[in-house]
Parts: sequence; structure tokens; C-alpha cells
Amino acid sequence: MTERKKTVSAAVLFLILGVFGVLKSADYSLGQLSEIGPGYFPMLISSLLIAVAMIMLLRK
Amino acid sequence: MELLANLAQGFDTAFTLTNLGYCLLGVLIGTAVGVLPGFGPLPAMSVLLPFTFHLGDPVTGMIFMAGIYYGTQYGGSTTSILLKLPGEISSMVTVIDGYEMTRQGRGGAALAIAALASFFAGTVATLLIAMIGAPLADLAFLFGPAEYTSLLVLGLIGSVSLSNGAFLPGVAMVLMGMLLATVGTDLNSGVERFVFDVPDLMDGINFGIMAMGMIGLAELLYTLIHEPNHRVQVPRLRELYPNREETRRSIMPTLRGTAIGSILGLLPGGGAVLSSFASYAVEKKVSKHPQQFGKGAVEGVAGPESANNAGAQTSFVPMLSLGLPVNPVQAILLAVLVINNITPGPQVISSNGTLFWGLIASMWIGNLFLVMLNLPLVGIWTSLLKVPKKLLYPMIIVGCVIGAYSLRNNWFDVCLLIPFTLVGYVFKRLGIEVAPMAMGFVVGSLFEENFKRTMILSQGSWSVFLERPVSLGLLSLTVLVILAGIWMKTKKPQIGNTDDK
Repeated sequence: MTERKKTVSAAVLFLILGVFGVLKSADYSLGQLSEIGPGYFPMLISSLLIAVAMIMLLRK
Repeated sequence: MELLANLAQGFDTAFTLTNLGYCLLGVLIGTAVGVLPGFGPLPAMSVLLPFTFHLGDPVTGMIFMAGIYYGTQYGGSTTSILLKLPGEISSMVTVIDGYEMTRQGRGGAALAIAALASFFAGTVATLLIAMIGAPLADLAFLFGPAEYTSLLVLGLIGSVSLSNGAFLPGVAMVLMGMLLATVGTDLNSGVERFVFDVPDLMDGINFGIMAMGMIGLAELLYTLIHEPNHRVQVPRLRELYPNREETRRSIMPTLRGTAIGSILGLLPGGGAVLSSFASYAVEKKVSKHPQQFGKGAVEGVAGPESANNAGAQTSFVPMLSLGLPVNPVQAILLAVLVINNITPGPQVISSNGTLFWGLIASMWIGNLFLVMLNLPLVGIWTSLLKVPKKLLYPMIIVGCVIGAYSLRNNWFDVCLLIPFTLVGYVFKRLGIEVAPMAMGFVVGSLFEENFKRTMILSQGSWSVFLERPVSLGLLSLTVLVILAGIWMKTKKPQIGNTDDK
């Protein structure tokens, strides 16, 4: 596998997990920042994961 | 002096028969693991992690694991020098001049220098830990949740940035680890996150399972599929002692290496690997005859060998005093604490004094064991390489299954090994380091906790991270470390696919 293909495969995996995370986190109440609910943190992490995956895909 | 009193207490703890025994066992296993290429301290510690749960006393567990870790540093040098086979990445540098020395018939001398340099570094590093551990923890009491969160960000990003793999995938792995840590019942709200009505998941995923599967078994699987055969020829050693000149030339490199390793070991991403590489570069630069490097310059062995030992040991400091793991190995040690119901953080030293000082004392004892054992037993270690994989690997697999089951007497956990192994394998194939995921996992709940508290205290304001000076400082350091990592990666080529530090 070429480097590019490896990066893309990995990015896709991250993307899928991230999207899954965001969708599932929405089921748990997010709450507000001053009173964070159980869904907030997973949502945050999942969104960051999606962001990283996108950067990996769009670079080069 | 209080330090002496503490050390005395530490030696008291370390000298019990149990702890001595496990120290010895740990360093023996560590040396063996170090000798065997491919399988490093991280997989070995992961596989043995559940075992520490059953040892009763957390000190014993820590002593054992720590022994394995710095034991691998000694073991890795042996094969690097004799067989041009670096057992660990941190020993890769030792191959360069160490093997040349062997070819010139000075292999025994190289081994002796490596062992002695390592012992010196280990002793100094142990003293350092003793001296700065407690004051550092005191400093940390000044930390609030915001500072702690920023510290964790620095730790996580730093370790990814200065590690072997590419930056972005590494960050993604950390994030994935943190996400996995949220699986289970949320302690604050009672909500079950990502549980999918599987009752066995309600308490979350056990770190040991993830570590054994993703790090240990995946490594095994990968080697089985891609590197099945590895025959090694073991050379004969003519003599085991360095001559006067070699000894003289090794003094300064050992001192420098110890200093370099001691400092670099404290940094996120630091530890044995970074230290040994840095030391080699420094030695080459300051040498009066740099052209000898690569042709058997003993400085190229003494420096990196002391550096990697110093680095391996001082990397314990942030973990023990702040609860901050600077590399994946430290993350596993943190997990040992957590498994034994000790919350890592600055209070560990004050509330678990026997643990801290006992561990420090035993580190020195371990180094002593190693320097005494390595040289006479060289023949045994190298013949370890002749053990066929088809004997060794099934043993490891069985060990993992037993370990996994022993955690909760639950088959689900054992079955969970399989998906983790596959995931670990897939990522290895994609050339991505899996260790950061373990780090993210271990730190995940701590991070979430501190983040929540910060937000509650600041009433939802994000700017608090930048307003508080310590936090701002830590975050700025993070940016610096990211830049340093980028710069480093453009200079240094990728070095294989192992994740131990």
C-alpha cells in the first residue's frame, strides 16, 4: 500500500468513528458549558476526531 | 535530612522478600524481552498488566513493571552490540558503534561499558527522582483544574509530537483512546454511554484488555504474519573487559549521557528513545575524532547507553508526582496505580509514601541486579533468540487469555481481546502507532473530570485556559512542542514500527 493510501484509509476509519461518536453522543444530553452533560465530552472528542480526519484527507 | 529518612524507609520496603523477588523477576523478564526483537517493554507490560492486580500490594506491582521497563533497556543493548539486532528502538543507536566493536573483537568490552554506563545512569537517575519527585508534587498542589487540563493536553500532544509516528494520526489515536474511555456508565450523571445494552460494558472497558489486545497481541499477530522467520548466529566472546583507554574514553560520554537522559526523560514524549538518539548526536559533535563514529567508537556506546537508562527512569517522575504519563509506558504504570485504587496525582507521594520511596529504592536495586546479571549471563540471553516463535507465541497468547479472564472472571473480557487485536493489527499495517491510543484512554477520564470542573468553576468560559498564567504557559509549551516535533520529523527518518520508549 502506498503512503497516501494508508493515510486515506486511516483517515476514513477515523472519520467513521468520529461521525458515529457525534451521532451517538447526541443521544446523551449535552447540557450547557457551565453544567456539562454526559454527551458533551464524547461529542467534543468525536468532533475533533472528524476534524483531524478531514485535515488528513485534505492535505497533500 | 528528610531525604535520607525517606530513602531508608524506601529501602525497607524494597528489601522485603516479595518485593526483591518481583524486582528480580521483573528485570529478568525485562532483559529477556529486551533481547527479543520486536516484542518490547510496552507489549510485555501490557500482557502482564492483569497479573499485577493479583499481587496484592500495589508497590509490588509497580516494582515488577518498572523492573521490566528498565530491564529491557539493558537487554536491548546486548543484542545490538553482539548481533547488530536492536532489541529495542532505544538500542538502535548502540548498534552503530557497538556492533563494530564486536567485529573488532571488542564485543565483550562494549557490553561491559554498556552495562556499567547504564548502572551509573540508573543510580544517578534514581537519586534525581528521589530529590525532585516530592518538591514537584508540592508544586502541583498549586494547580487548579484548568492548569491540570492544560498539563494533560501538553502531555498528550507532546508525547505524540515527539514520538515516532506521524503527528495527525497520533492525535487521532489519542482522541480515539479518550473516546473509548467514555464507554460505560458516566459517574456524574448515571447515564450509560456507548453501552448498547451490553451489561458487561456498563463498567467501561478495562484498560488491560485494550492494552493486551492492541499492543501485545497485535504485535504478535503482525510478526507472525509478516516476519515469520529469523535465524540468528551468535558470535563467541573473547574477553569481557574493556581496556584502559576504552574506559577512559567512556567517562565523559557516560556523564553527558546521564545528564541528557535525565532531562529528556522528564519531557512529554521523552524517555529512553529520545535520550539515546540525542546522546549519540551530542557525542559525535563534541568528539575530537568524529570520524571514528560508526567504526567502533566506544563513546557511541557509553553515551547512548547511559542516556537511555537515565531517560527511562526519570520518565517516572511526572507520572509519580503529577499523574502525568509522558509516554505510553508510563501510561501503563499509571494504569497499575488505578487498578490498585490509587488515584494518580500530586497526592500520591504524600499519601502513599511507601509506594513512592519503595519504588525508587527498588529501581536502584533493580539496576544492581541488572549489572550483576547481564555480563555473566550474556550467553544465556543470546541463546534466548534461538527459542522458536512457535513455542514462545502460544505461551504469550495463553498468558493473555488467562490475564484477561482474571480481571473480572468474565469471558466477555477475553472475547473483547479479539476486536482489539484486530484493530491494533490494522493500524500497524497502516503504519500508525497504537500506543497513543492507550495514553488517551488512561488519561481520558482524568481529562474529562478536570475539564468539567474547569468549566463549572469558570461558568462556561473557554477563555479561562488562556487567562490563568500557568495554564497559558503550559498551552504555549504545547505549541512549542508541536513545532519542535514538526522540525524533528523533517530531520529524522521514520524508524520502524515499535511503540516503546
